[in-house]
Amino acid sequence: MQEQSTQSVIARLGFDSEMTQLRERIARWVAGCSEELREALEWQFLMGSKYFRPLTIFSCYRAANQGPIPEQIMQSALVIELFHNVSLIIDDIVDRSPTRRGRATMHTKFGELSALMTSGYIVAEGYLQLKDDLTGIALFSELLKRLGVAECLQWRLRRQPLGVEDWRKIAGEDTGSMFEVCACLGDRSGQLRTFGGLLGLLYHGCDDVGDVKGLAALGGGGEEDLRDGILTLPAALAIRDPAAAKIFCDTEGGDLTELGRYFVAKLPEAENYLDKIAEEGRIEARSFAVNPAPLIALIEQTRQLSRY
Amino acid sequence: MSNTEGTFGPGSGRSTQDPVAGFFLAMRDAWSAGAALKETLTTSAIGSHPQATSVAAGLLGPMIGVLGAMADFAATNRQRFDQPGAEPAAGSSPPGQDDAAAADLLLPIGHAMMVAANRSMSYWLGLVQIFESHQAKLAEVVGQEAAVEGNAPGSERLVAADELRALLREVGDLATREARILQKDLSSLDESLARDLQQPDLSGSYNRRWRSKI
Repeated sequence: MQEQSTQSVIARLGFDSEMTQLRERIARWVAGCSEELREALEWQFLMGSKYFRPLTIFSCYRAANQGPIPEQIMQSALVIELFHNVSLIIDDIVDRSPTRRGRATMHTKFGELSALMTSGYIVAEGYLQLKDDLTGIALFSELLKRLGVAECLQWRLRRQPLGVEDWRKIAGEDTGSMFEVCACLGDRSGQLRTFGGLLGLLYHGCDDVGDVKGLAALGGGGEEDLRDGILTLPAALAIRDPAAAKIFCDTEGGDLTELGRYFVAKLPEAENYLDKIAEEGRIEARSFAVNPAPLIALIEQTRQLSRY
Repeated sequence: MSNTEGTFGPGSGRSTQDPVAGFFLAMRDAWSAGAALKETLTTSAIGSHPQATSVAAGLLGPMIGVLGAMADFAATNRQRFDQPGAEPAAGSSPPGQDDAAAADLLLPIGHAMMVAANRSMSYWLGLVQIFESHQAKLAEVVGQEAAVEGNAPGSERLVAADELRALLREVGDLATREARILQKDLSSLDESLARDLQQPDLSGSYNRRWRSKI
């Protein structure tokens, strides 16, 4: 259902042919990779992605420019998809997730060594694909650095009685940095950077809320975050209650079912908070985009992620 | 506090005969109104915003006055250029280069001042909204802290700190956004000014000098 909805936004924004081109490029790229890793790459890349990050790049380009999507932007869309998959592979290893989108994760299917080596291979290939796009190289370097820092920060701050502002900082560096870079790759002026950050924050928050609702809409459940004491949006709101904070901070794990009930009780408040972030995103789009319509469509699409 | 009494209201600067002077008087009125709003917001405690809102609403009048004065000025200049044979009014400079230069520069200056005033007003109104949205929760938290004489449980202190941090972030975000909008608006004004004042391209005449000899 979620995938259908993304497809409808792609169609509405008129990016069908660009997405077809992107799929073909990815398939050609996989076909040209080392035979040793090809099966793993096919497993990872040809299993159907929502392509929401490339869609963000195209939409940010369209928000600032008219005309067909240029080669450099198409190239950026390919590389963001490569780097996004690197982050998924690493996340799955760290979270010990056996499945993603209903299929075995790369490390489950091919082993951790293969998964780690393949992710290094993808990064190197991504930089090669960028050729002489120096701005792109700088933005992708920023992304990898920030994602690494965010992952360590999130892990270090687990099981701590922190607040919504802390969640905002962690999410802003994690998913926020990904979409910030997408926005910068699309518009190339830096004007839409804050919009990208807000879109990423919204995506992260909707993912957190969707997980608590027990939905697989975004490709994963929330059990890992609950088990590891990761600060999600519902967690940050729930642990304002000392009883919930006590279970959340318990290094032995505590009663996760009980903790889950506290999270569920905070869902309406979390949804209200997400509405506020969505509104901030709309204001940014209207203030800084020549044509805000594609950006507002992205906000609306993302906001729906926690409502399925 | 600035004494702005008697200067509010649309067109206060427009009663004058000279459109240039009218324009600057209207700008002065708008500036004074903005200063009054700023002082009201600065001196009033959180929550006494009805006064601030009424001053902010009062700022609309001078703003409209400035727009009107700019329109008068532009119309007068257009009249002068449309009627090159017309006698200049007593005391005013004759039509010609000076008028054109004044028109070229005064309108963008006025536009820039309007943009800046607009952003300034938007910033102060945004601040009022932010304080309003946090006021109830902050008051509740501070009240609880006072009731237990500073010995509130750790969880309540964390909630209070989180609330205060959100307020500070929103104030900072607002200032950054308004500054970015100001920069964008002034930059587009700068570009349009540069375009308007651009010299005609003379490179064409260079090509015409070359003629093939038969």
